Amino acid sequence: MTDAAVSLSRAPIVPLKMVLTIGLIVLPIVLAVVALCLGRYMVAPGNALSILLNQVLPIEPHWEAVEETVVLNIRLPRVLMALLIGGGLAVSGAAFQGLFGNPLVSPHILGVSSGAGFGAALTILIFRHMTFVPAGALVFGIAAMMVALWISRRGGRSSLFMLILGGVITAAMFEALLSLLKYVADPNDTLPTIVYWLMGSLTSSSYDMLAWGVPLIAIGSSVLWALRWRLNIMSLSEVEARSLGTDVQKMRWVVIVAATLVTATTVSLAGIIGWVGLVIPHVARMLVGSNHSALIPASISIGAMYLLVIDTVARTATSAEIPLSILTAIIGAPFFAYLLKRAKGGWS
Amino acid sequence: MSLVIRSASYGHKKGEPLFSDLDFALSSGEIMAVLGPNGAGKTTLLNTITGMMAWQNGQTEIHGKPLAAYGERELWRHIGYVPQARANAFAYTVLDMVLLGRSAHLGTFARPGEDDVKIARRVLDRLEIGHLGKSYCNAISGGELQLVFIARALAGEPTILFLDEPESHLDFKKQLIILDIIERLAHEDRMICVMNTHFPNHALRIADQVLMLGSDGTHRFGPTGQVLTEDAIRSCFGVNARIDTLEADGRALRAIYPVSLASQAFVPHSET
Repeated sequence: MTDAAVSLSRAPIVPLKMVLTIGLIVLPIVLAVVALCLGRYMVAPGNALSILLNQVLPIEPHWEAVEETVVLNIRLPRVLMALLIGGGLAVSGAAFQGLFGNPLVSPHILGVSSGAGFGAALTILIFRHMTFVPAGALVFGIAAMMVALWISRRGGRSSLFMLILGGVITAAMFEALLSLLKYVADPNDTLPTIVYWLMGSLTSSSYDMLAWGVPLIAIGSSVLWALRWRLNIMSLSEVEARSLGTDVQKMRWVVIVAATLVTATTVSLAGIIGWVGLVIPHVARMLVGSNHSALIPASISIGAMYLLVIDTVARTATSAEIPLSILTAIIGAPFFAYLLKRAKGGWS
Repeated sequence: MSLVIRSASYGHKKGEPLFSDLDFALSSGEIMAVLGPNGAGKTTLLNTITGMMAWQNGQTEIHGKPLAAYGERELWRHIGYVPQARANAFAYTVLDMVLLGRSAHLGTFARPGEDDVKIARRVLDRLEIGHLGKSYCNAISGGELQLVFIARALAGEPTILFLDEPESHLDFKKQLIILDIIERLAHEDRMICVMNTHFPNHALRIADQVLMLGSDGTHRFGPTGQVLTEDAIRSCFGVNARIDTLEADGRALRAIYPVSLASQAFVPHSET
């Protein structure tokens, strides 16, 4: 698809491939340690590492207590959350793009995020409590996906344009419903909660949230990981996919449910963060090619790194926090435009 | 090894069958060409034979067992399907694309291993496109892409191969290459080959049996020499044609020459 991909696979590649694999595994960890050090209260990298290692090995403390508090209680859950959500959004984006054989699809375009956002707001409004937010986001995220699919289906097939239109319609509907909820919400209590939550932020990251977020995203991502080679087949036309012995209908549902589970969970953890699921798979494709066997792992790694960097910028660049969705769009949109120009309108 | 269609019919709308009472049997090593005008249902026929669309009546039997007796994956271990060459949204390498042909032999969560790569490479070498393994499918010619799709089907080690207009859109030489490959697969590998084609001459060249679909729901089936006649061409395609034989290279080449549209046959010549 790109010059980069061509030159990568044409060169004498074994060492290069290995370098790439190791880089994609090690770099997120390195960046995570760096992110732990950065912030209003700077921590030396050696101290940050020692504090982390102290959790498994007994190390004589040579750091200040406040450093330990900052690293372990404030920054670590947030850094882990950024990695989790970035990787989750990127893997569900890559899966959706593969499933529909269309590199312009993202979980956002298909209305899942809008549905999940509505579901989350509805549960906040009804229960006045964050406990049921993930359930609400998940149920309505999947519901939105099903509505979009239903709209797009004509005579048993979903065409590309109908699918995108279905997603646009579904997203518009759920966004209108979300506005209705905001309109009736208590402006002193539930409304700020909803609005703040929707703007996308990792501020409220905690180990409690990780405790339920990690399993849900891990389950969805594991399914996508396990099916990553099959995603290549799903990206072909339906007749071709069936002729390769794949139960297209069943596989489609499994991938949609898994990717929607991941997307809806990220929305319920951190609000609506756009552009990661759309752009990161393209970056990954430039590095490792289109084969989903390599694309899925690469997307997870790059997505995790990307959101970690963005979130670190969001919390350190200015004295007030910049909402994540603003930054991902400001960086993601021009980058996507650059990709489009570079591909000269042709994606293949 | 056999492919049998028993009193099968299909139509998009009730009362307007595309084809009805289809009855034919093919055995190992036979090539059947499916001919017919645009819209006669050639692609639909392949889809119904292979069970991707359900017959309204009748059934397909493969190696003596009705289609319904096969599991989805089991069935596609016997059948290879070569679609009309079409670009894909994602640029897979040729080797990756051919490996997808192994999927009916692999579990849902499995990925191709060393043995599968060996099979894919063997197929690529056999079709003489081994050098393309690392090329991207969107960066090769239409003819090469068609060969890649044939290779992908062959990687599944099928006993019956369906090809949907495999030589359309190809240049003169590539058409011949594809036809030769189909002949070799039938005669050397004893595969049953069913191919849709727009070219009656290609049917004359390699097909043992011909199924001609008319646009009015009728059909003719039988040995090529008996079915593919000047009369049949006229009623099926509306074209006045002559069939002649040319001796070349010690081989008798029969060919169809279109003479005029059947509708014009009775237009009297106007003197100028």
